[in-house]
This record gives sequence, structure tokens and C-alpha cells, in this order.
Amino acid sequence: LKNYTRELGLGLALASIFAGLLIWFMVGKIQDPLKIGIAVLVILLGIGTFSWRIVNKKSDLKMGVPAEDEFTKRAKAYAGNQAFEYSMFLWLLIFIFNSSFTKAEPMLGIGILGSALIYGICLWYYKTTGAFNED
Amino acid sequence: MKTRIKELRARANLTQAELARLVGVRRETIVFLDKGQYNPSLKLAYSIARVFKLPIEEVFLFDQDDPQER
Repeated sequence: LKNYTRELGLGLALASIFAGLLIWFMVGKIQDPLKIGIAVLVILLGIGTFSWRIVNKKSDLKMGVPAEDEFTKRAKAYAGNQAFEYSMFLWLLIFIFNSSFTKAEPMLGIGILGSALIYGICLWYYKTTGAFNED
Repeated sequence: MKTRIKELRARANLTQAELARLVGVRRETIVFLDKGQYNPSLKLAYSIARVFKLPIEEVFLFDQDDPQER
């Protein structure tokens, strides 16, 4: 239940950030419908993923299965470690090709979203293959 | 490291989910343990051995010739 409460707290914090971003996109400088559409899609995806995780964790708790155990914790730690290394290369590439970017925002966006994507891929890979355990 | 978990589970008529619940881990962890693809913590190894009422070394087999386990 402790994990569930922590997850709920994290989710609420993320939801507040998403809501803040949404308001910023809606009333801020960005008026392009395509960009607003992408932002809304990202927000919906985030809320959907969060809801799915909460439902899954709640059903796990009901069945008496821990939401997280030593295997998932190790996989997360290893994925984080690997993702950090790969992200460094991504940022290096971004800085090498920084002259190709006319504005700083897309550069930072690619860096931040790219890092998140790298972590997601690493986590999925290590959780499904258990490959981190070969060392 | 090799394990006899699969064999012992079959003998005790335990499913992966049942063993997972007994030792307090997720079923995926037992799946990887069954395949010998995950080295458990000492605590988990002990819990599993206790379920089968066997000493740890009879459930988890260390291959001394394997350079990774020296």
C-alpha cells in the first residue's frame, strides 16, 4: 500500500505539471493548432499510462502480489544507469549538431524527450529479458 | 548459477504464481528464476528454500567451473 500511495502522490504531482503545461500551451505564445494537438496527445498519453499503471498496481495489491519486487527494482536501477550513459551520447550529438538548430527549444526538447525515450526502451528491454543479470 | 526451482515446483505442485505469492515477489521474477536467468538476493533464495523445506545449496547450484561464479 505504501508503494501505491507513493505512486498516487507522484501521479498527482505529474498531473499538476501536465495541467500547468496545458494551460501554458493554451494561453501562452504557442497558437499553432498542430503543436497544441501534439501537447494534448502527450498529456492524454501520460494520463492514460498513469491510470493504467494505477489500475494494474491496485489489482496486484488485491491479489497479494507486490507492485515492485527486487527484480523490478534492479531492472529499474540498471535501466537508469544504462539510459544515463546513452543519454550522454545523445546530448553529445545534439551539441555537435547544434548549428543545425535555429532555436534552442527543439534542441532541448529532443534532448529531454530523447532521454526519457531511451530510459523507457532500456527499462522495457531489461524487464522483459532480464539481461542485466548476466554480469 | 543453476536452479532446481522448476523441478521442485512441479514436485510440490506449485504454479509460478503460487510460489511468487508465497515468497512475496512478482510472477515474472519466478519466471526468470525458473530459467536460471536471475540471481536472487540471499533473502529471496532463503525464502524459496524455506518453501521447499530444503537448504539453499540444494535449490541453487553453483557451478565452480564457471569463471563468472569464482
